[in-house]
Amino acid sequence: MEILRTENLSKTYGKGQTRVEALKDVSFSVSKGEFVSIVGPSGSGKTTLLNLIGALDTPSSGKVFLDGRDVFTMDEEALAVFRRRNIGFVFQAYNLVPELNVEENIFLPLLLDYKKPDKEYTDELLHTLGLSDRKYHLPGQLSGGQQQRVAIARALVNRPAIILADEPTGNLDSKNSRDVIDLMRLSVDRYKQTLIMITHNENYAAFADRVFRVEDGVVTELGGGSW
Amino acid sequence: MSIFVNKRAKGLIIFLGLVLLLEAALIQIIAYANAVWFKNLMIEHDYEIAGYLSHRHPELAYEIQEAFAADKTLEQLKTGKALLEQSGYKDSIGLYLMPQVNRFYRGNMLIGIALSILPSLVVLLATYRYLKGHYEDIDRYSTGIMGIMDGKIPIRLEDKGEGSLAKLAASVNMVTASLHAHVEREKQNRIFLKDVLTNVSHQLKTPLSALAMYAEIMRGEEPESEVINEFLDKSENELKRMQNLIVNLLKLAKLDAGIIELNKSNHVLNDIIERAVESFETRMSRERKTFEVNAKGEVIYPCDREWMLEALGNLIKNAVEHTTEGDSIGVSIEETPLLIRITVEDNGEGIHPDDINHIFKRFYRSKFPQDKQGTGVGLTLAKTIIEMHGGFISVESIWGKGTKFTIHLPNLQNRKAEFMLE
Repeated sequence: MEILRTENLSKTYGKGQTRVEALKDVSFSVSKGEFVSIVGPSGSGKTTLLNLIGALDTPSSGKVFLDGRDVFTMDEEALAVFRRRNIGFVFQAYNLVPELNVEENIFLPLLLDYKKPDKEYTDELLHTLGLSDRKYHLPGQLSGGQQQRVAIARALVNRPAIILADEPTGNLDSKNSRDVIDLMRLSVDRYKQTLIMITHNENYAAFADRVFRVEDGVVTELGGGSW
Repeated sequence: MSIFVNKRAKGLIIFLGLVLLLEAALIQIIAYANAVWFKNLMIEHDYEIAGYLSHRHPELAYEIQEAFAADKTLEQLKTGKALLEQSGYKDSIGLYLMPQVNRFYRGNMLIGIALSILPSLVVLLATYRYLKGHYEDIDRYSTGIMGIMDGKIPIRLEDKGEGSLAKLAASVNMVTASLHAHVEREKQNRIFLKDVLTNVSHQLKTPLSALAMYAEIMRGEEPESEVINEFLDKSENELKRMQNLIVNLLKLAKLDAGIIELNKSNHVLNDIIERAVESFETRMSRERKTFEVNAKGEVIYPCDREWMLEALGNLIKNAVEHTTEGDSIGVSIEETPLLIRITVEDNGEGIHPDDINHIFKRFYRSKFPQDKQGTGVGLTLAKTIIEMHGGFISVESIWGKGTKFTIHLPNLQNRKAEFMLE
């Protein structure tokens, strides 16, 4: 089942002489449950692509359909709600709230939606990510790898249509990176989520069902060709 | 009106109507009571004036009585107005200077407050209770739907009763039932497929073993022709491959049908690896390939021994098939508090980048034709088995340099399972 589709997505910054084409005519589709990694050198347009998919930025032209809905026809307010319910984000810098403990950080997206957290599910989630005994710790008391795992749990708790991760292991050493990527893959499989991850490390591409390479704003699928 | 089908909405509207009606009646009663009160206050005021005048001028008793009873003319009103205005008794006089008026005002103020606040409170409370009940129902529904999403198929939303919410619940139940039916049918289809495969393979087994026997008999005749010997070898290989394929297909069909219950118990993974390697030892030594197992200590893991052996065997087999003489194959096992990783690494031919994303697809054969005996099912089988154990397989490869498969198994979930068993 198709969960995400982009149609001729383009993004240009600046005008005239300073015009930069960050993305050129990107069209692809991702099915539910796929683990997609996006690789490519710095400045190639990876983050621009992810921001467009996550509706954090608007394209110069083209469309993004998430779960069958045309994202950029929504107004700002509707988009904020749509993002909250349908997209989970994992950032390089974790972006946890330092004053809230692990459990509260994970509940945050639910509370923003006035939803009652499903204890059973969140406990299992915490367990899957190896955070059960860290529930009441503050982010400051956790290692980088643990903090990123909390961020992954936070992205998963809402059961969004899609999870977007921008260099989730950018701040971690290689051992922690492996654990985080492994657990991300495990939990994404376990909860049948769809994940799109930017990574610098081409080795992690091995964890993905599909690999997209972005180079000078052009997206190609490695070993693919079926789209 | 259809809204009255909703029992609770009907109740609310009737209740609110009653409150409004009651208030209207109350206002009428109070209007009458006010008039009576006003009359009494006026009489009181008149008595005061009459008393005052009769004390000063007892001789005017008759005139005073007459003054209150007689009809007055407009002229008299004007004269009186002019007279009293001289002493400051006029329209603009403060309410507080007239005790009766003041009392009347205060009394009415309190009544007004009571009349507006009380019914408003009742209306607010009734609306609050209505909405609360309404949204509690909706929340209950979404919890139920979440449960259904999580696979608790027997859950049905409360849909007895009239009204839109119950109708919605009934629709959700319908969708659930139909989804359930689809899932069941899908499962039936898979079981059917498995049965077909079982039958077909049984049918194929006899001719296959006959063919194998014929080949053996022919070989027993010790043919002198090179060509015959070569093709006997080839046909024996192909027969083996076919038998292999049938066995693997059956296993895969069984796994796909979802009728396999993993028989999980604690096993030492190192032993399973040893066992998996054993079956390839003769072949590897014949092909002069070196083999090494690398483990830091024993790793005990709850898994289904037979299937785990199958998965590992397929990965090792794959490595053996894609290496040439003198290459080496290594298996290592590593345990962290979060995960267990088993890697099967070789320095063989590697996987072409164009192939790497497809190797786990069933029957996928490389775009770059090689003379290999693989069936295109082994890796799929391994992947399915590991996924049933809650893990996944990743692959890294450099074309021409070698390949590394890694089995990632969650360490925690199983600990939890153990914990729950205790």
